[in-house]
Amino acid sequence: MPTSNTAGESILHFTVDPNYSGKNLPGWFLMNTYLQRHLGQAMRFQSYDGFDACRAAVLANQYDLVYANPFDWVQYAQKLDFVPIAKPRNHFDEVYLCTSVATQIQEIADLPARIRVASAHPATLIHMVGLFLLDKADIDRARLEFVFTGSYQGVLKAILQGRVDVGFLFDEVYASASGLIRDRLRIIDRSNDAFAFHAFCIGPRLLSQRERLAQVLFQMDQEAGGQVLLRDIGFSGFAPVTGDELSCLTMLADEYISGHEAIDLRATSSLAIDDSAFVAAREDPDSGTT
Amino acid sequence: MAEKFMSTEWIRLVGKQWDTHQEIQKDLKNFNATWEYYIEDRPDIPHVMLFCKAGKIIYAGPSDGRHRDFIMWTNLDHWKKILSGEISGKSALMTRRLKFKGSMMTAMKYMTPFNIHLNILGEIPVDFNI
Repeated sequence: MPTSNTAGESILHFTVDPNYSGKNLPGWFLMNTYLQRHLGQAMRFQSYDGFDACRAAVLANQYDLVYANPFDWVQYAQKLDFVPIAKPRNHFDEVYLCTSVATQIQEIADLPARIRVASAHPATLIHMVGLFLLDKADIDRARLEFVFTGSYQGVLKAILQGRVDVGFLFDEVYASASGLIRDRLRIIDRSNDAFAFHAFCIGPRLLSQRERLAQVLFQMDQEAGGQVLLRDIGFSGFAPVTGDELSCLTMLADEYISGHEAIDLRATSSLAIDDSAFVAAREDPDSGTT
Repeated sequence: MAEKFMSTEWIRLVGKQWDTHQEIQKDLKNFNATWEYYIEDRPDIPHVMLFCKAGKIIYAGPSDGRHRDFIMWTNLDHWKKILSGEISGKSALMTRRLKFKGSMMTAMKYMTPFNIHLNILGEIPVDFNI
């Protein structure tokens, strides 16, 4: 939604994934200033506390540039023709299963029979991978009772306040938390998939500046101001998103969001699942994706 | 003696080699699936398949028309690189150098055993003169 300032210049609107609220936020305001200066274009940055509000605003066409989590950027690409142009270099989304050090839970095997789990939002990669970690540890999903907090800050609070037994925490949120907070958390498992990533996505109104914006992002690590800013937001640089990566993550997001499950579901859960769901989950390769 | 790549004899050795890897059997103890391999630029060579039940290979041989949960294929040059370890499983998937049909969620969930499985393919002495 380009608006205009008092000088009649159009203003581009920029937002980031809600997990960047809190400690990371000043860096993202500076990122907005950096992009504004290098693009020579007025930009306005706004952040959100929760995933639903952020998605709704982007889907209502209120933004031209979004730094989004993988399942969201796939959605924006499909629904709004956004284009993912840059991802953090050598940096992937990973999940920590965290408990409070105030509990007796030292490892997954110590989790109680009925497990209260804090998760920011069910429609996130972090939630999906968190479930995978529990599946791999043979935790039956019928034992899980979710508390959806809307944000990772909410997950942190739920763990520290003892409202849950374990939380699915985005690794960047853990890393950017204060030492005081981290000292009160215990990581009992973590993913190491190096598969999915956040990305800068541009909307149709910014497409004409795609090359220029991409160059600004890719060259940030080559100048002093950019290097400082990259350190502030926790990255070493940005790299292009390839068509193959887009295709793989679109397949992954489509399967997850449409309710499919990995094909071992029946074996790892005592939840009642009818056969039609199982057949859909297995997919017919002849009509599947390539 | 090295077996011809993608032959029935070769895939049977893959099945036997699988039995020696306790780690993958443990990782896939809840996993039942069938999958097929073929060489994209050699349509004259029949497809082969594996059937894994609770982590163990219960069928290794020619693709026999049964339902396949996954199909993996690429050209001979890329197969050589994947089997030699020059391209990792994840990289092969993400760059589409290994083409893939089936559940991407399952592939991601089982990325570690997926990589081990590609290593197993590479452990069999193989003759690429086919």
